[in-house]
Amino acid sequence: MMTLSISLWNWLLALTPVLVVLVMMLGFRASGSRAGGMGWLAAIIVSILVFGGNFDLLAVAQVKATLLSLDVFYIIWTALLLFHIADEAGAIRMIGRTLPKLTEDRVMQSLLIGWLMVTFIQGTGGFGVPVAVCAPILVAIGFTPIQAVAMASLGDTWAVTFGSLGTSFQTLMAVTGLPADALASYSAVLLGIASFPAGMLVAVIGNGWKSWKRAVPPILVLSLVMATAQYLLATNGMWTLGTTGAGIAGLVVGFLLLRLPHYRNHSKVLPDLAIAGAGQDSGKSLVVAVSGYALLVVLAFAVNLIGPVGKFMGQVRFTLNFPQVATRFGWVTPAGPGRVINVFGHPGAILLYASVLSYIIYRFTGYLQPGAMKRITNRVVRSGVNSSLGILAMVGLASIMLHSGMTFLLAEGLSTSIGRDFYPLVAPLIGALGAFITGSNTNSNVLFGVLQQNAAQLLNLSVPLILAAQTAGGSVGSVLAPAKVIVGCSTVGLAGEEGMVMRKIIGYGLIPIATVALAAWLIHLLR
Amino acid sequence: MTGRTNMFSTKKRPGVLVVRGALLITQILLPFGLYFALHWAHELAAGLISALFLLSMLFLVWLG
Repeated sequence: MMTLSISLWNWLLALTPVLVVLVMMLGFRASGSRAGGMGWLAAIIVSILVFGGNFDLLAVAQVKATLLSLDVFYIIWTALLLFHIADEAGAIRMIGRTLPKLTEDRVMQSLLIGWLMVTFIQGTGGFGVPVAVCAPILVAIGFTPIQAVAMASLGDTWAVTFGSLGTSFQTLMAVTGLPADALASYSAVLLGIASFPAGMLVAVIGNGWKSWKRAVPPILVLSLVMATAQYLLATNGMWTLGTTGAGIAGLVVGFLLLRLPHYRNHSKVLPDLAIAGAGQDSGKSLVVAVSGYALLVVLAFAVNLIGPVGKFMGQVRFTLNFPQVATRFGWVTPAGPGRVINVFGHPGAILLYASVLSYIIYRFTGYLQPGAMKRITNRVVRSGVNSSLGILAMVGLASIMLHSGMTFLLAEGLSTSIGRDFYPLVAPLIGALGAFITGSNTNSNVLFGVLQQNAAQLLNLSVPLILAAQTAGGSVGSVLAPAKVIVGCSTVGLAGEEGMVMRKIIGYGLIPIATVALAAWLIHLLR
Repeated sequence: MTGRTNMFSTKKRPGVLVVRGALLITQILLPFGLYFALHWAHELAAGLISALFLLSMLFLVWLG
């Protein structure tokens, strides 16, 4: 496969669609849909004029993008549905009132929801589900919507590779041909190190820089516990449960920490919470109210971990087959199927089952007021439509860049211009770039896994270390991606305001990426 | 929120939701139409669908 020769000019042109999105969202505070639309137009123009894209190539890229978007919409719309059903039943308000009773410490509250619960949900959830579920809860306990999305997103930065039952890690193994034994150790170490800045960012964004001293001890303990749990699971053949196990261990130790008086009662920074609609919830049980989310966890475990159940649910799959396409310069995308949608075993399907079952439970226990269905539908449609338009444009942009060889040129340019000693510093940036553009750690590993493997071999570096840096960078980059920020914003009433949130999280997001890069570099120097 | 003028203000008007919903459905369905037009080698249909999709994306940029 060939693409344009590497030059600074070609590299900058390949970067143009991404720059358009960033400038629009960060500079002009444009919505995700407008920025994505402009980036999509830029990708079309650069592809045709510079990278030799043609009609067939662009058509295949767009249809594949639409198929991938449907896969994402399945999750977003059903996550919104579950959230609004639970919200209508009073679950979010009740969590908002109950959590301060467990601990008045705002730092611990933010860590419990924005870091530990996010990590646990990432274990089985996918594309933006942890942020979609936890950001509204953070709002309910008194954080602003922008803080809530930023906290839940950054708390998730370390958890993606071994999350979603290890999909991204499995992909890395598949594309590089290396076994889990070779890749798991360094990947778990780098991601474990990244868990500390993830926790610190959650605490600092929620409670200000002055909270750092109070935050360090519990975050040190919890990051050590979660990193160790993830390392032990990943290096002992249970990498599919790496993030789930880490999340469970973190939650158990987190609740144990709450039993210490020091973390139980610390009300100096507790705001006066006035949760709207609290009066409607008298006589309601928290257990019934949160049953929707409990059902989600049970169903996710059943479908993903009980073989016969998963096999039965995975019988109906939808995809389309695509022909081979190539640019004028010979960059070939082979023929093959597009995204395969597992209709009844998809995470979106699991969310839908949980939504329907919880609606029935709330309906028969009298937790839903008259007219609830109409209100739920209105809220789901309002949030879903706005975020879906942006995602469609962003995924289309990523697909056009991928099929035109632009994404590959970006990574190749970075890898060939950096010397051996500094390549471990750059490898996570390549992984993050791929994930930022595509919104997915998995896609970043598909795009750049082999490239990073080849670069490591050519530069005589440790291949497992560089691939670990790739996937750890991808884990962070995927959470910062506009496509995922749109998902988070849609659940806290910030649809259309994604630019403001991006401005907040991009700068902070560089901290875990830099941590991973420095850790990879130090390991390289010490080897 | 700052008080600075924002030329790309993104607050949505209620009536726009219906238009955005229609736009979303259009942008989902058109690519599948394009897929089958190309599959059956119907070049005119493929060209028309592509032009419509491009227009829909320009409309999205305008709508915000």
